[in-house]
Amino acid sequence: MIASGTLRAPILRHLAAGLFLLAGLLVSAPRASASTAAAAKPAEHASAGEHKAAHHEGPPELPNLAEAIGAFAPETRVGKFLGNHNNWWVVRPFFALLMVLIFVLLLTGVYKKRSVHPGRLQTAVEMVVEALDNLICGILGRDVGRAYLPFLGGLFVYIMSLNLFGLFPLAMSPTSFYATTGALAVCTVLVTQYTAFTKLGVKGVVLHWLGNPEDGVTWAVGFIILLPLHIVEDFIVKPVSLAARLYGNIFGEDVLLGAMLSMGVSILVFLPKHGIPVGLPLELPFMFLALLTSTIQALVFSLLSTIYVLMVLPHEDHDEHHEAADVHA
Amino acid sequence: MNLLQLAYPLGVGIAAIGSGLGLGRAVGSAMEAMGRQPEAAGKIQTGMIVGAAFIEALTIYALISVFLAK
Repeated sequence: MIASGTLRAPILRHLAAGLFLLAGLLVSAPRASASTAAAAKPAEHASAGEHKAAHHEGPPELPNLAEAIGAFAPETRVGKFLGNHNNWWVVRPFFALLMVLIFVLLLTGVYKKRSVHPGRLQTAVEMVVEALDNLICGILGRDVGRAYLPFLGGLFVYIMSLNLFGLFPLAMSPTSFYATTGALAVCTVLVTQYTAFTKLGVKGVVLHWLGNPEDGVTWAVGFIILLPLHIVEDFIVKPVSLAARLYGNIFGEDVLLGAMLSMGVSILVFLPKHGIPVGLPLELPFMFLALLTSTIQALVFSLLSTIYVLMVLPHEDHDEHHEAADVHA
Repeated sequence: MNLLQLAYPLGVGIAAIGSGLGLGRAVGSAMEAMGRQPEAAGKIQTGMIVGAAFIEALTIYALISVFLAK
């Protein structure tokens, strides 16, 4: 509405933008009320042993929709189920699946209405696809890059949107949870190993792990040093580092936002609230930092996955074992 | 004062020293390269951001151990 200029008068446009900003600021403050209310509830219901929800230790986080439902309606069955922190396995995939649903609906709609003269949505999607195509085919080459563009490009867009989803009110980013990032890393490892075993063959993969040995000395070096190192690297170091990097960045950002938000509410604690907590928007600069971090971490994840796929493709150079010996020596 | 509660932030702080040094070198080299050849600034900046994310990740691993222990 603002960008397309249907509001003709510029003053009205600025006023609408200001109202959206103000609404965003005011909405972000009551989110702290859900967490403080959720922390206060078990003090009252301590006798009722069934409702031990929302009293979880750990770093402060922004509450999401499930926790809000659990805090504001704890008497209903849905509220009890969602407010219980032991039921995280329902809440966290829910947001990831919601994102998948949004993407599927959006892209199916664009695909059905595609034409040679594209509309605005189709142009936007094509811009994204073309940028990802340049990035991935620039690394992997045309043929292999096109084959892996759906997975690696989709990884980037999916992870970036999952990361950014946590900035919406009442939503959480599923990547701020170690299981989601671990699953994504396992996907990358599966794709990499599948590529290795289909493009190189089992013998080629084992020779690659041994560092392409050519004489007796390099056979011994390969078996003793390179083989365990490569196996540990391929199956432990790569997925753990991918998952831990993404999880730590996004969860740390969420914790930072939560801590800043509770600090903002506690600054204005002297004001009479009339049931609505008001806080200074101290977390606003960190939300901008979260935009940057989300995009960069998604880019790093997908770029690293691309490079891992590149490293198992057959090389043309024959002195690869010299490079491997130089790296690991 | 529990000594174990002191250890976690201290560990993150020590990890941050290494990250700070590494990031300083990386970004400094990137700035220098951009100064030498301003028309390649886009590629250099992309590489710098990716490298900075890797170096930053090492401090994040130390931070994760704090979350996992609590």
